[in-house]
Amino acid sequence: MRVGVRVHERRVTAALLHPDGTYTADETPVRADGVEASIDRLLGRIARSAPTVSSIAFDVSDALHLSEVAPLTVVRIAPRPPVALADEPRVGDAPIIHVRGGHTTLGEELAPFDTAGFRASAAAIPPGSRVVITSVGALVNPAHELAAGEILLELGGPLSVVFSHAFASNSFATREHTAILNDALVPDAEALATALALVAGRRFPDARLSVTRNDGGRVPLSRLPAEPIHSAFSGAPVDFLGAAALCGLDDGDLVLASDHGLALGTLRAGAPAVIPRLHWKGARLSTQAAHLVPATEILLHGRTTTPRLVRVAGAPLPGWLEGGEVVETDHDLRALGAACAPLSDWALGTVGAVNAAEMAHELQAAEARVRARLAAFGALPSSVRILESQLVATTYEHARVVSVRVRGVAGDPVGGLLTGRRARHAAQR
Amino acid sequence: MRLSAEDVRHLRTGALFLACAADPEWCDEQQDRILARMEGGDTAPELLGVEEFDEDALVAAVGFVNNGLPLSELRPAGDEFVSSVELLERELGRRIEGLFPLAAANVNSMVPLLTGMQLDRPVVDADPMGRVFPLLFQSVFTLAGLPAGPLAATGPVGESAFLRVREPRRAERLVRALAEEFGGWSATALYPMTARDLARTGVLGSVSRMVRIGRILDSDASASAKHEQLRRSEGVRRIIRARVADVAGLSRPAPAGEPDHPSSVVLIEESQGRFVQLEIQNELLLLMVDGTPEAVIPDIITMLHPDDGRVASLDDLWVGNTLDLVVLPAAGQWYTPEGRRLAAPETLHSLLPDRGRAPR
Repeated sequence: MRVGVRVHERRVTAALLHPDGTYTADETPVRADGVEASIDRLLGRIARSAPTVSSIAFDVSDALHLSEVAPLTVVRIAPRPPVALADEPRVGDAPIIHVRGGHTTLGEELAPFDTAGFRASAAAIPPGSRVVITSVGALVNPAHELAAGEILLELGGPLSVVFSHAFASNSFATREHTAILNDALVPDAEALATALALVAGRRFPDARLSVTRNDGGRVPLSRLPAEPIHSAFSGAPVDFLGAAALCGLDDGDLVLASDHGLALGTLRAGAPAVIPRLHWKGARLSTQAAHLVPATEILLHGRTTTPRLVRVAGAPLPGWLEGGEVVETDHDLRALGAACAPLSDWALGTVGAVNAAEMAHELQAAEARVRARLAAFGALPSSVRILESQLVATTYEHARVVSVRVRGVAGDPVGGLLTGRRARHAAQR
Repeated sequence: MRLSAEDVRHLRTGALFLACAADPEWCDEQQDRILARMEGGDTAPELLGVEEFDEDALVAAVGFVNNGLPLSELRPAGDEFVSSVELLERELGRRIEGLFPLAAANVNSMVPLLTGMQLDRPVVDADPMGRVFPLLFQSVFTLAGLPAGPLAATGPVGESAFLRVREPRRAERLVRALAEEFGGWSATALYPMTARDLARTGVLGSVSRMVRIGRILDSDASASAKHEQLRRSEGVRRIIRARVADVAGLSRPAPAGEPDHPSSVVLIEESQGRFVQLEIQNELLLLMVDGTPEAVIPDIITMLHPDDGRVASLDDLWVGNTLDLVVLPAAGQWYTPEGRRLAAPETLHSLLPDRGRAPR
């Protein structure tokens, strides 16, 4: 049996996906003893009724909060600093340290890293700070970010260091924003990951524990503390996945009507269509997120295939959507979506390739990395499906440089999970 | 006239509309740099018609030429265009009285505003393209036989070069190569000429057109009202509303020496089942509906969001997205036989497997 758990500060909800394709739901309010105790109570009840649980997927998007207690310092590595203060994008009041360095799109050094200069500047960083390091060209060659990190290690004292090259974007600002936000989520993510692992491990020592992601998939829970940004916006995508499971949809459009409005998205091969960025408070973030947009009459007008419509009980429906077939539910779609979410992984990056053979090689290598990681997550290799595998042109950039984008999932398409048929093989051990 | 902060914002919107940019982030940052200076007390950018200059006054184009890391990754320090303009002035021994954009679309449309504020020079309401073409020789000045140089180029590391080059095609190859060696782009000052030559050969009024278009698109009007105003004011035709069905990131090999690879996007117009194809290489080159070309570069092909008429970008070409595809005519010079030869798809190799198979 697979279990999906929605972790919320006021209540904890679970969906139990049984091997026969049926599902049941359970819920417990969060009392004064806290979220951890509530999850323990909920999992305890599940353990009594269904002792064989193969996997538990947590959606923690409601429980991850920004923690910005420690002072932030931003390190920007570029060939030259801005000549005018007005040209400097600020990050609140955070001090900015400029260091000479950076690499080209081919990974060659654009300017040497100013080791001595950074060593001198870094001495002024207060102990206990959060330090976000972003270097020009780091997506291709992170050497200067790593060099800065090593100098910070030499300084001693507690520092939290985040490197921008962990986030796949060829925009300096997008990587920096993502790294800063990721870093601010880490304290909550560490606490949650530890608590969830302890509680769930006690109740279900054999179950694989995972956390949902913004793309509507899931990864092992152990990944949460390192990259909470990829789980911080998973709520709507996982709701959407739960709705798709409920109406048995693998390919096509779906409108989810909830208290938050109408969300329109697309399912392809049993997983949400995904875009490589997300806008948050005016900033772009580098994370793979299910592509959900507000459904409007204009957007849906004239479609030959009417989108499936799922309505959360009590959610208002506009007049232009009334009259069609509606799947109504009063269950927590997020918990259901978490239970249904496939393991997911991506290979993203910028590579140099001069001909078709080299490009094909890069793509094959990226696919192999995705398959290997999914197997390491606990998926049967035969259950891995590559949903996207392409090279993307880099507009106005070097013709020898292309972007690689490979998406793999392990698990059955979501549309068939609730059919009740037992013939489907379990995707995960 | 002095541009207001609202004018600058409208210009940005119009510039993105005319370019269907891949990197709107940098357009935003360029706008923010201008607005920050205005808020800081700097004199607002001045926009003048070319007729307001002395006929013998020297004017020049400024613009980024890219080949490598994008501007959003390798951000300018801020003095690169000042260096290039001053270098060009030193070598020519004359003051440049006005600056115009290398292209009246995308980020290059904003460059003369910021550089003009830094150097206290006005912006000329004209440009060499009337839109954006990927290659710098695709200009009406090439059609008129004017040289692209001498020119000055400055890179992100602060290195500069002065090129005594006349032939625009050679200028393209040399500056593009410099842009790569510089690290990704070259802040270029080029096409120095008299105001008389600019008035005779340039695309006039192209900067104010961007402000005009932006004012329509930034308004609170409905999407259909915006389409109607754009049709009446700028001759914008709404071709089709369609949904992205597939994207081929690298649909053909790249031509040698040019940035980027060609891509193809397939969209479906669902009410009548029409099949829409977009061919892209840096810009939108070709729009076909059911196999029939509806618009071909030099036509300006661009996209709007259907629900509110916001400008869409190449970033919006994701499977499932519904977009309004719109077309407007380019400057008249581009529809002459010589203009078509310089800007037609064959020139950009969108339909050809490689350079060696070009038709004769």
